[in-house]
Amino acid sequence: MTTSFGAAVLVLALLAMPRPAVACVFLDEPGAPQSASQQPKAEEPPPNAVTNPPLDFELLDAKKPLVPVDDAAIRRRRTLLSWHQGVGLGMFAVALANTVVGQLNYSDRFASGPSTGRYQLAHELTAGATVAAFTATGLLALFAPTPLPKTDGFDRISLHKLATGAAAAGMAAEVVLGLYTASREGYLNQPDFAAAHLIIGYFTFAAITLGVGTIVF
Amino acid sequence: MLIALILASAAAAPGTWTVDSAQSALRYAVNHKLHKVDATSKEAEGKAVVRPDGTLMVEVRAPVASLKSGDCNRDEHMLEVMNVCAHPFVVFKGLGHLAHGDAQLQLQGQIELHGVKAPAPVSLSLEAQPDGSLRVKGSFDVSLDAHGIERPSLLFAKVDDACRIEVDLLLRGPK
Repeated sequence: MTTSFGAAVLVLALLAMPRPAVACVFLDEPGAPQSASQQPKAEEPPPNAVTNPPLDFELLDAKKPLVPVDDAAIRRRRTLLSWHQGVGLGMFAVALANTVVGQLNYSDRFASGPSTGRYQLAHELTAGATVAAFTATGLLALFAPTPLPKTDGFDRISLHKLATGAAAAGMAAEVVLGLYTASREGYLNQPDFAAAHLIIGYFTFAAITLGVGTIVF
Repeated sequence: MLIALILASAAAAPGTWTVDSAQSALRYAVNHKLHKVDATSKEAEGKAVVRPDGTLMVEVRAPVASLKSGDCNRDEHMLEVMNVCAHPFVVFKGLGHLAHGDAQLQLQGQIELHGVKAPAPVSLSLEAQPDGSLRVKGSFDVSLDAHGIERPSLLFAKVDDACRIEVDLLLRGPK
């Protein structure tokens, strides 16, 4: 009986001992004391919270694009104008060579002394190359689409177009005069046509130089 | 002195401040070996929200197509490389803190260019105007490569990667 009584006392004593609070119940009660181990850890701010606050706000209304454009046409234009630039620079180099050879040919044929004709073939070749390159350069620009609206006003491009337009007129005149001058071999007026061909040649090269210069500088 | 205090107080008034597009400009400048290129837009729009505690949120944008350099071929090329179809605007957003009488403002910003967003911290100068508006000026550099922009070239030489963006905005305060 003593043992049973003692066991009962022991059980009662065990039941009466204070237990650790169940966190999910007692922590919610206001003012409930908490042990240090039960206090929730303060949330650490994200590492970038101070240095990179969110910029995902919108203060302005959404707007539709203002310029309707054809993206494929833009890409095609850029390709053609890139080629235009490369071929144009090559044309300038050939035109320079043609002008030099043309002057040498005129000096050899008509300026002084006996005519040897040693620059004749070179001039014909460089002249043909110049005309071909100039035509190709012009066609690349003419066939480039213009999907974006043009801005009004006179700018570098306007001057470039004027200069190359003048060069085109000069080039056409040079082709006609050059062929006609060559056909006047033995005639007394051949030197006159040759001089005109020379002068227009310089004018044409000056126009080409202006056209290139407006873009480069 | 009294006027200066009044103007300084007006500079920090809480509310929504709106960019006066007609009196504002957004500029970019890039360098090439043969050219210095700069273009200006007079169609910038934006808002700045100032909270009572001085916290500031700013958003400014401008249509890419409105940036004019005076050279139509260059502007067309710029529209091509900027892919204006898909990304018609250049957008700046910023956060900062504005206190009474501040003449300088540091913004933690972000610039969206060519559809790519990149951090753009910027220092702005503030100047209160007699009519109560606020003139804001500042500049910062962006990397064209970082925004995936194909740098234009001339004579096989590309423009520099650094592009300077300048803002000169007139903000009109809450009514």
